[in-house]
Amino acid sequence: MDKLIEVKNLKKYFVKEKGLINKERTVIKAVNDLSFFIKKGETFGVVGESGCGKSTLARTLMLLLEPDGGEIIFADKNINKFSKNEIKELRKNMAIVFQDPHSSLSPRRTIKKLLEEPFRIHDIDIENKILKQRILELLDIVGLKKEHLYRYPHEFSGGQKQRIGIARAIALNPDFLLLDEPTSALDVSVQAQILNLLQDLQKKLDLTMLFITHDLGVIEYIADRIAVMYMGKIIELGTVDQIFSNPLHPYTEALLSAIPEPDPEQEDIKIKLEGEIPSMINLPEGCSFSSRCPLADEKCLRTEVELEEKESGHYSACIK
Amino acid sequence: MEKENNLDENEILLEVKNLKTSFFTYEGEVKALEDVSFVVNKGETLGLVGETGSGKSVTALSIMKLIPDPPGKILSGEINFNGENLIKKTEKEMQDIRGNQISMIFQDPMNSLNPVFDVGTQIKQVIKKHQRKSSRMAKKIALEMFKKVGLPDPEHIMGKYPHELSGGMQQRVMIATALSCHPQLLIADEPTTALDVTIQAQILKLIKNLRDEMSSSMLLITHDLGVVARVCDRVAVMYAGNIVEYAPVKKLFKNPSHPYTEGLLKAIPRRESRGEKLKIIKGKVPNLITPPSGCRFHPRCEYKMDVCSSTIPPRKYIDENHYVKCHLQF
Repeated sequence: MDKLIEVKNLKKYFVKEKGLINKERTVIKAVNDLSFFIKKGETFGVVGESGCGKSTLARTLMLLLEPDGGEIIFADKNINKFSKNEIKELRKNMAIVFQDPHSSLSPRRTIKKLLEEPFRIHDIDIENKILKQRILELLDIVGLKKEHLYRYPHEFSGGQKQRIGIARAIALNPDFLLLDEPTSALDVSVQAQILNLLQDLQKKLDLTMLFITHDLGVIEYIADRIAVMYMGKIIELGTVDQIFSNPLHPYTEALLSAIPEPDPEQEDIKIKLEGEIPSMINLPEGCSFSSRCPLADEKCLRTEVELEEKESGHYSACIK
Repeated sequence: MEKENNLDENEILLEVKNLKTSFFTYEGEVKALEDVSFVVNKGETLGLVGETGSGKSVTALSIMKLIPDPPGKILSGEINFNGENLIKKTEKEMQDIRGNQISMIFQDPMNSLNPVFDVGTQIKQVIKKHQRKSSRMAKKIALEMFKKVGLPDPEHIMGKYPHELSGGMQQRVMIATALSCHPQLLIADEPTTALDVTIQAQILKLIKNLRDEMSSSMLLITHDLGVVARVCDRVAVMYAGNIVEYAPVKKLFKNPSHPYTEGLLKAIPRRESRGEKLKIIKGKVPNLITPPSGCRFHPRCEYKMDVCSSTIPPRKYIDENHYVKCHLQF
């Protein structure tokens, strides 16, 4: 079992200051002591509701945000102390695809320019003719055509723009691809096309993927192992089967019961979770889920919970 | 407005017949709705599903007569609400109907609430305008509604501004406002799309309970087939300005007859299909300035025949409440 990425006690805090004279400092622990690893060639899924720290995790992992603690080990190297040049070098090997394809492509550049960018930024010595060949090849891989080369982003549909985003990400043959809600802005039929494309690419290019989404149906379909996040922490981690067939944490259970299944024969909407998602600013002491948990009691408020291995490879952070 | 005879289940509340709406833009006429017909019975929920640009929202806005004119125009068809054709109504008459008899919840609660007034003022304004109540009465009704939609401490929430509330709470305020005048028809346009799953489940349950309690009918617009399966009695599947299939919800999921419906259902990622490729509908939604001839779905259809590109398919009734717009034999 080869690990491509290992994260140890990763932390990212945001500090909010209020007031001029009597400064009030609140610390938001968006990524609060996370540890996990991703095996070579697997698809690792991260699910959670809005504001649970999924995207902060993505950005910290890519070193787009500076971590406040912990280690990120990529291909046996500790990357969080890397210099600027080393990070640039690293980016050839780690690529990211963002949620919103409309705002991640410059509206003033043609597709050709957009796809040349990764090669130019990394000063890759390549003849113009070969570069164009490579770009056409990339377009072909993601299912676009030669005649799209000189068009601008606004001439494409959302699904096509996401294909361009993916082409850019895989331009330099990375080992690792991070996808931050890549299909959330798309319709189901287009989503299906993109999911198929990603699976093809993974096989063809031998990619390791981290797939972030709030859509449990998508994660169940595409991921091998899943981490469920709540309020900056991983509260459950395991294989798809373990998480979906035998959820151990009450939050995971509630989340799964809330998915509207496309099957009218099923019973009525079940509500296992009342109340709103709390703000990260005033987290309850002890287990951060205790304020919404149906099983919570005194002990949950006092005990700091940690991920614990409950069965082989299946971790849960619940004392119950 | 007093509701009469709403015990009779099969009484028609809203009947849309051959509705055709276009937008006249610089690039040409966008034929947004080609031929839309459906019925909403009293006490029933009809789901309108389809992808971006299929004309779901235009249908809703046409019923409310809120299509911006220019550039939009309802070209032909009938919208019969309680037996009266809304298309013939004047703007003044429509204002009496909107809010009182038909009201609407939109997708994005943040954009439908006014950021400079507290939410209490906004709901009271609606009640005062439509029901001609005094401020004191309006406040009483508003508090009652807030309690009904499950907002904690209604008195306190009344004084809050929209930005102080979470997305789920904002949507609850919108629902309270929309239902405050006891409408006979509630149009909900993607009411839970902007919300997280756990909150979505709460809001869906709430809408369902309130609809039953007030015995209103509902037109629920969504792109999520899971939501349709949970909430609706009947479904109309829209594609490029047409309803391509119209059926009771159980029948549609068990026996999807239109190739587009079939494609949509198969495109949903599920665990059973892990490792396999998802079935996709090839191509993309057509440009409605120059829509395909004949059946608008034919360039993407895997069962395409010669007749499909030349003739607009008729409505074929499989049984009396299930129709398909397709040339295939069933």
